Amino acid sequence: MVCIQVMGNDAAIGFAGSQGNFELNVYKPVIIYNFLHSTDLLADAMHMFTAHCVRELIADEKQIRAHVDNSLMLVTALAPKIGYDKCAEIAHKAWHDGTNLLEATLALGYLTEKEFKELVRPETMTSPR
Amino acid sequence: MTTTRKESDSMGSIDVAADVYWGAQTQRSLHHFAIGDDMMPPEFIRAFAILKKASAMVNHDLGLLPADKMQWIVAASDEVIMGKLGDQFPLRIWQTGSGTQTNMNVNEVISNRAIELAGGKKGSKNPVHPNDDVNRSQSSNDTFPTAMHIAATEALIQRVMSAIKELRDALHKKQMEFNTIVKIGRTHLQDAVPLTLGQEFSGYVAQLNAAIKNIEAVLPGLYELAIGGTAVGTGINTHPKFAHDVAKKLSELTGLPFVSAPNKFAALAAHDAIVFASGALKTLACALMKIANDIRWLGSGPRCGLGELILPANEPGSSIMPGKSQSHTIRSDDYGMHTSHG
Repeated sequence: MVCIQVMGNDAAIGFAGSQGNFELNVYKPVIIYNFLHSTDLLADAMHMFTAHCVRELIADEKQIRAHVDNSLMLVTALAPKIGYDKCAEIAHKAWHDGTNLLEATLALGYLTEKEFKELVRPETMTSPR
Repeated sequence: MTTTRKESDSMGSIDVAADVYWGAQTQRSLHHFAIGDDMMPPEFIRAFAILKKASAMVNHDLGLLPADKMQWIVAASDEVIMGKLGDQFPLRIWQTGSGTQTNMNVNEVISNRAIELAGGKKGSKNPVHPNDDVNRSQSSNDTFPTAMHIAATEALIQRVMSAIKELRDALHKKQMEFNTIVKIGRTHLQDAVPLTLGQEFSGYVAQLNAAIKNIEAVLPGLYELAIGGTAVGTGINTHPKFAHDVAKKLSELTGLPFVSAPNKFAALAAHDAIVFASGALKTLACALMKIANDIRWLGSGPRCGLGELILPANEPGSSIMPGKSQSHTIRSDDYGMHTSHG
C-alpha cells in the first residue's frame, strides 16, 4: 500500500511540476506535501519491514529441497550433453507420465543412471562452469 | 477578559484569538481556504524557520537588520525549529499555490513571538514587523521553494537513506546466511533452473544499493536554493550578496552543502529537482514492492503455499479464522500486514 501511495504521489508531483507559468510555478504546496508524504511513508515502512520481518526470516530448507527435487527444469543441465530437443522430450514425458526426470531419461534410453546423476546436481547449477 | 485581539494587514483589520501567535493573513487563509484537513508538514515548517533564522542573520551581517531585532527573530525561529510552536501553523496545503499564506504564517508567528520576547504587544508589529523584518530581502516566491529544498533534502538524507541502509544491511545478512541453500528458480511464475536463496537475496541488496545511488544522484539539484530570487527571479529588493550568504549560512546551520541556484528564474518557476527526486522515490517504491512481494509469496502457506520462507508471526491474522498465524514454528501467513507497508 505504501509503494502504491508513493507512485500516486509521484504522479501528482509530476503533474504539479509541469504547471509552471512564466515566472512562477504555483503548485508548490501540493508538491512538497506529496514529496514529504512519500519520504515519511517509505522511511517508516522500511523500518517496520526490517525490524518485524526481514531480521526474523527463516528458510524452510526441507520445503526448498522438496521443490528442487520435484522440478522438471533440472533437465536443463543435460542440454549441453544430449541437446535441447531430447531434454525437452524427457521433461514432457516425466510430466505426462507423472514420473521423475531420472525415470523418464532411463525409459527413453538417453543416459545411464550414473551419467544422469553426475550431470543433474542442483548445487552445481548455480553458477557458470 | 478579552478572547480576541485585532491583527491587521493590507486588507484591513481582523479578529484573531488572543492566545495565538499568527496574524491577519493566516486568519484570512483559515477563512478562505477551509479545504480538507491536509496541513503543512511540521518538517516543512521547521525548514522554513531555519531559513528565517539564516535570513535574519545575513540581513544583520549586511547591515539591513539591527542586532536586537536579529536576535529576537533568531530566538523566535529557534523555538519554531525546536517544535515549541507546533500548534501555530494551522494552514492547509490547499491554499495559494505559491505558499504565500504559509510564508506569512511563519513571518507572523516569528514576529509576534519576537515582539513578545522584546517585551512588546502581539499584533503591534513593533518592534519586529512580519514583512519588513522577518521577511526582509525575501519573497514567498523564493522562500517557499527554498524551504521545499531544505525539507526534501533533510527527509531524504536523515530518514530515507538511513532506512534503506538498515534494510539493505538486514537483507545482506540474510544473503550470507542463505548462501548455500539451493532452491528452484521461477520465471513467468513457472519452475526454472536452480539458484541459491543467497543469490536471490543478493538481487534485493543490489536493488537497494542502486536506490541509494539514485538518491545520491538527485541531491545536487536539491542543494540549489531559490533564495535571493525574490518575486520573479531578478532579486528585486534584496542585497546582491543575500542569495550567496543565506545559502552559506544554511549550510552552516544544517551541515548540508546548500548553494545559491545559478538561475533563479528556473528555481522559482520550475521544480524539476523535486520531480527528479520523486522519481528516485518511485524507483525505490518499485524495488520495495518487488522485494516484499517475493518474500510474501515465498512465505505463503503454511500448508498450502510455496512455504520456502518462514515469516515471523507477529499478530493474529484473522478475525474469523481461529489460530491463523499463531504458530511460531510454522510459516505465518499474516505477512500481508507487513508487506503492505513495504
